[in-house]
Amino acid sequence: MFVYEPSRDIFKHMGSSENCKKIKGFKIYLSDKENLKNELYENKISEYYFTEEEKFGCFEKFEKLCLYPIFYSGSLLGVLGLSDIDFDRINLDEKLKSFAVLLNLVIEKLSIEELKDKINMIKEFTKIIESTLDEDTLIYKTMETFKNSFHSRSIIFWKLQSEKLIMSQSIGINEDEIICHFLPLDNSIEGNSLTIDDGILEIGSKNFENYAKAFNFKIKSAMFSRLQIDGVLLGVIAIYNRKEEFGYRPYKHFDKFDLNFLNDSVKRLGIALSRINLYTRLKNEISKLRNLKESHEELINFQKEHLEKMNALHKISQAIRSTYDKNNAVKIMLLGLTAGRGLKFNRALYLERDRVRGFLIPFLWLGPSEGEDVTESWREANRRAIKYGNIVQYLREEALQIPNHNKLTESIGNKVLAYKGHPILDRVVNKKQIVNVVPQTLKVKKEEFEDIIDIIKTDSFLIFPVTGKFETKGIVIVDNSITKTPISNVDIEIIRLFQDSVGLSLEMIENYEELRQKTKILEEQKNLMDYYRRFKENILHNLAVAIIVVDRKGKIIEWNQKAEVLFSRPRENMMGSKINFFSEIVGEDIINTIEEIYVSKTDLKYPDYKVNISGEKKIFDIQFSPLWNRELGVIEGVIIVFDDVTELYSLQREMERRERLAAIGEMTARIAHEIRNPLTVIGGFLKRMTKKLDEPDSIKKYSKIIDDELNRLEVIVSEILEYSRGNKITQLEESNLVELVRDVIIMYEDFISQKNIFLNTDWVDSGEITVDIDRSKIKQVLINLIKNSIEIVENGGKIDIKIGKNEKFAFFEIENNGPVIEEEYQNKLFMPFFTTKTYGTGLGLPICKKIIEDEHKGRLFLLKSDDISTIFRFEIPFEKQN
Amino acid sequence: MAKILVVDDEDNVRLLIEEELTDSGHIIESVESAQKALDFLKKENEIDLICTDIEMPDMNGLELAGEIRKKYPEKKIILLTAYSHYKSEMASWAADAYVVKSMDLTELKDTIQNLMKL
Repeated sequence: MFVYEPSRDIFKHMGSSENCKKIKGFKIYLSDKENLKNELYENKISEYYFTEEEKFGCFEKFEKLCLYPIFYSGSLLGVLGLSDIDFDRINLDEKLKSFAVLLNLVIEKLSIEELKDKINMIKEFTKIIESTLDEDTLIYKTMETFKNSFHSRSIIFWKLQSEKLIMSQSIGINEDEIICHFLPLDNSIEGNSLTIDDGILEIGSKNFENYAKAFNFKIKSAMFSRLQIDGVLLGVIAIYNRKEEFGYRPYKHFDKFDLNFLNDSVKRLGIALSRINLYTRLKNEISKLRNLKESHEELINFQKEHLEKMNALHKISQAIRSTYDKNNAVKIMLLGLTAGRGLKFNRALYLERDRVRGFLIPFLWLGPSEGEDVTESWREANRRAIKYGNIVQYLREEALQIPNHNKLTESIGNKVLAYKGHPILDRVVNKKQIVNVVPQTLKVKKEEFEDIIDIIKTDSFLIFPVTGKFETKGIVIVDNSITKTPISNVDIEIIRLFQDSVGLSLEMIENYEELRQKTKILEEQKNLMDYYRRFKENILHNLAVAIIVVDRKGKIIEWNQKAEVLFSRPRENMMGSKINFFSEIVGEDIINTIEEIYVSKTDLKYPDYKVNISGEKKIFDIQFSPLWNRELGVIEGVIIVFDDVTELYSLQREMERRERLAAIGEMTARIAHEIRNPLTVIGGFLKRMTKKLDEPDSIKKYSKIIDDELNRLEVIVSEILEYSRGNKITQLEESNLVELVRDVIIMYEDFISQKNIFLNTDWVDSGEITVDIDRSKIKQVLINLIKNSIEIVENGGKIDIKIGKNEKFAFFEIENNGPVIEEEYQNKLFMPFFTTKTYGTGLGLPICKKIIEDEHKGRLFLLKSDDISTIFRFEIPFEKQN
Repeated sequence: MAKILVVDDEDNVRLLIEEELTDSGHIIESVESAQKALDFLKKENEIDLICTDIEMPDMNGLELAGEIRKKYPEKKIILLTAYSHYKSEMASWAADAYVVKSMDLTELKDTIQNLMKL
């Protein structure tokens, strides 16, 4: 008995009258036996001849089988293989009729069974689709259902990915059976199936031989159905080999019905996946919307907080700007940072920057200190805050109450932070960055924050610089160490603005302070200048000299108190007037001299200048000085100083007169001495004569003496007359000048050696220098000059004498290395009665000059007087002319 | 009565004093310079009193008085001069008396008398 399997086009052995196991499962293939097939379909008994290979078991006895077709209502169900043709066809037909009905029923029943399975599968599948929202899970669960429903060995989902099929999910395949996890698109049935809408059903292992294989077990039948989602190819669901041991079925392979079912289910899967996709998208959209909503809410909160804090910031800035005290400004800043009506930080510490040492020095730290009842102190702070109408007022007035020291600030002790080279603080101070520190930061960079944490003792805080336009003034560290509220982005945003605003305010305060200091200094300088000006004016007005200053236009710009007194003109009337209008007061010459100063550009002095002021004779030393403008290098005016020397002048005259009198007195004394001796002698002998009238010899002797003395007296008197009148006739006689000099030197030899003076002697050998002279007069001159030199040189000094002649005159020169005769005295040396204490009576040189020049027609003069030596020289001409 | 040495560079003055004092009963020796006076005193120690002019060439009367005072402290010295201003000079204090010359020699005679009484 053979059953027909239309899908494979074979007759398969079902049972036999022969007890032969060998022929079980024997197949007659119809595909290459067109005649046989046609005959059978035409309900004809046909003959099937065994091939040599098929002659095994009970078939060895047979050459051929007579095939008798079994039809039921027009469908070929199978054939009956008979060993011979000798049977009654009619009878057999009759007998098989009921069998065919039965066979058909059985097949139908099994089909229904399978259909039931499939319906169950659909039910299960529906459940899966309903309950699964994940793509991969859905595919997997679907594959599980397929596997059960189709009673298949293995099932694989080949996923289309980058021009390949990848084994994405598999059921019923061991890892060791897999050759390859992917398949090419062009050389595989799986790949081919992607292009076919209705799927592919392949039965018989022969059909798989020419394709790429993914595993090593033999494929007998397989179904392929492509999976699409919304028209997009996702891959192929492939089901391999129907399990043989399962149930009854005339064939052990998938059939068209299976394939249809698979296609249908895969399409459902596609729709389900599409649904999932849609659902996922929807879910995403919803979650996006929800996120959007949340972020909007967040944004609104953020904005609200931002706005609140901005408002607070504005108020804090306003409050800081209202003070000009730095200390106070810092307090307002810290209060603003910590206040509930401000930026609400728990604590705020300000460290001031010490630029020179590179330190940040704790200035003030506001916030609850350790062990303080925080709730109570905040409640108290809020209670105080409520009292104020507005925040600005609150900050300003509360800041004033904040002490410079508190427990929190004291807890820092003397610690400072060095920011130069500090990995964090250098950035804050110099790069003006804000640093937000959270515990995670510290895990990574603990060392860098060690010194900061040592001071603030918390692991979350925010450091920001207080920066002006130019530089960082200090840094602030804020934290929420009590409430543990994290520092938000809003906080950081606000701090960014806060930092600038506060920094600028602090800088402004500092600038203001500096300005105030400078103003103060300027004021002090102004006061000092005022003082100096007054001082100068006081000096000017209290000077004992009259000072008049005129500018280039001849306008009086200074007229001091003494000038007021001297010229009886008040300063108020004179200032600004033209000096020319007062020529009758100060004199025409003075006015003219002013003009000269602009030309000469030097000082000019009129000593002992006589002026008539309101009928009174006055003598002034008048000094003209240019008034220089040092910066421009021009003369702006002229300073005229009137020194009233009237008194001094008369005193000087008096002194000169007295000196002259003293000189006359000395001369008189000498005259008296000269006279007294002869007078004594004359008087004495005259007395004796009266006593010795009786002694004629004595009288004679006495008379002779008296006569001699009277003669002498006469000579003396005439000499005095000559001395005073100078008209004595000079007695000229030829004399040797060298000899005369030698005589005088001999007189002073002792004096010279006593003073250890070096005197040259070469003049002694000058030979005879004869000239007509009055010996005694020239001797007097020589004595004068030589004695002066000896007196004037120091001990161990040097005197050089030269005597000589030329064709016109004989000369004498005496040089000494004594002190210089000052220039102003040089001209006056030969003036009668001119004297200084150094130069004796004042008659010596004038008499000498008179002797040489008047009486000998020669010249006597000072040749020179400088640091090296002083030389006097006289010359006496050989030929005296009138 | 005293033995007196007169020193003066002017012959007539010396002569006048010599004669006047001799008349007063004194024994008079006279020289014309200070140096000669010192020479004389070396030889002749009998002199009680020296009467000297001040202004003389070489050694003057004041110096002479000083020398005599050093060498012969017991001898009296009278400075006889035409000038009164030497009286203020310390050197003149070496002398026992200072007499200004005048034609009347009474003052000189009285001074000698007074000195010799001591």
